[in-house]
Amino acid sequence: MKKVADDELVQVHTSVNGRSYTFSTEPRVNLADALRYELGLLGTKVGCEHGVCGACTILVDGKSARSCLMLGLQAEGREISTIEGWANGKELNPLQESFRRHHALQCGFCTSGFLATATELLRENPNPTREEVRERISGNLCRCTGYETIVDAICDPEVAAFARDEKNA
Amino acid sequence: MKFPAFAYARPNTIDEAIALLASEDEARPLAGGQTLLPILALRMSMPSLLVDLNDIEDMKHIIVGDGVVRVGAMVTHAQNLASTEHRKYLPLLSEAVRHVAHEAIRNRGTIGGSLAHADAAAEMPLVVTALDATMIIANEDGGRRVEAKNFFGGHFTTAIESGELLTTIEFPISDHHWAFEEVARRPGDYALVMAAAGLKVNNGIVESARITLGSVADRPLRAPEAESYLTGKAISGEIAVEAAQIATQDLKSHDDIHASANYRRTVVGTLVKRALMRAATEKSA
Repeated sequence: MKKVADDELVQVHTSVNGRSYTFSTEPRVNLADALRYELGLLGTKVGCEHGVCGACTILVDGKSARSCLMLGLQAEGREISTIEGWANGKELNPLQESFRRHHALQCGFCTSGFLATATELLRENPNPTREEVRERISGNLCRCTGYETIVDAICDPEVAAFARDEKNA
Repeated sequence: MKFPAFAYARPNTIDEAIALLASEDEARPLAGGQTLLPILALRMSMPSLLVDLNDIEDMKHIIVGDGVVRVGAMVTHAQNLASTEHRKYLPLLSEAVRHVAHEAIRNRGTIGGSLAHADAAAEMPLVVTALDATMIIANEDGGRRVEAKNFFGGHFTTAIESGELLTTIEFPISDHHWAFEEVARRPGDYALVMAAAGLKVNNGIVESARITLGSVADRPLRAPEAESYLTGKAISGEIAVEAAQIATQDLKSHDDIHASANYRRTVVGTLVKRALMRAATEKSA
């Protein structure tokens, strides 16, 4: 890609939750803000804006990434997955449902980031130990301090069954 | 904060990247962005141009041959963690990279970015110092090679000059057995202290030892006196404690809000001892 000036708008073609989008952005705009303000997908939250809190974690080509530490124009040609794509209409997916059942959220601001991190973990390993879960979510901060219930939700047997089926599918 | 404004380019080749970096005084390469972008968000740096290296395929390879492993600067920590070549030929890198940040950061952050940033509390500078790696740097005159011991100039300072680009890290394949130890406040945090030990043992006697300390100074430190002390000895708990004592006795570490200098010196000594004992019992790769 040729050099673009700092105030130049660049057209970006990307896929979010299986749907194609084209948006325009200046180089300085991070991907979280591009998702929120160019595409109107407000489920990705922006906490610290410098990669520490994990609230803005999404999946890019199936891998977890901090959307505040990517540029909007780095979404070109990528397949992005965000919280808006994980429920089937009003029906929560089993991981989301487990978060609800275990009261794994209070204010909910950190939740989409935790779900992204947990989704990636469960795809690699449908039956993580509590220790493995704790280590993996150490990059996501919950200031309502609900970590015990978050670990409970990720380790729920129904989640494991769903993750095994997904992995075998 | 939001990033300051910058121009942007995403070249496909190293030559194009070098030309772009030379085109403006305040041009900076953008690798994984997991450190540079936070620095921009904190407005600690305001480059005029970011040269994004993510489309340069020549910087993404891991190649084994001629007694060395060449790791492209744009290889991510996640790729290094998953690499079966590294488990076989660079077990110290495999072990240490587990301690680098969190999965989401490892998925994008790169070995070259970490080395060029040169945070003394980061793992990759310690690994290249322990393994006597060579940094391969490209520039408009073709390029040059810099040994790890001459690469770090202090906090956030390296031998890379303006307009240059770290493209490859060349690791000699070591016949030592390696172990890495780290203490951090939480998994994925920067190290409070860390240590690596490498031992080549023949018939129970140490032929060669390498000890490297991290996060106790402005750059990774080798401990040559402790390395010579161990040569010709049989490793035992007492010998390891003595080597750790020699490695740390003259250490002038630093106080910060997380740990005092005294704490750092004491704990890194314990880590040297543990790493030596583990390296002594490690099986061959």
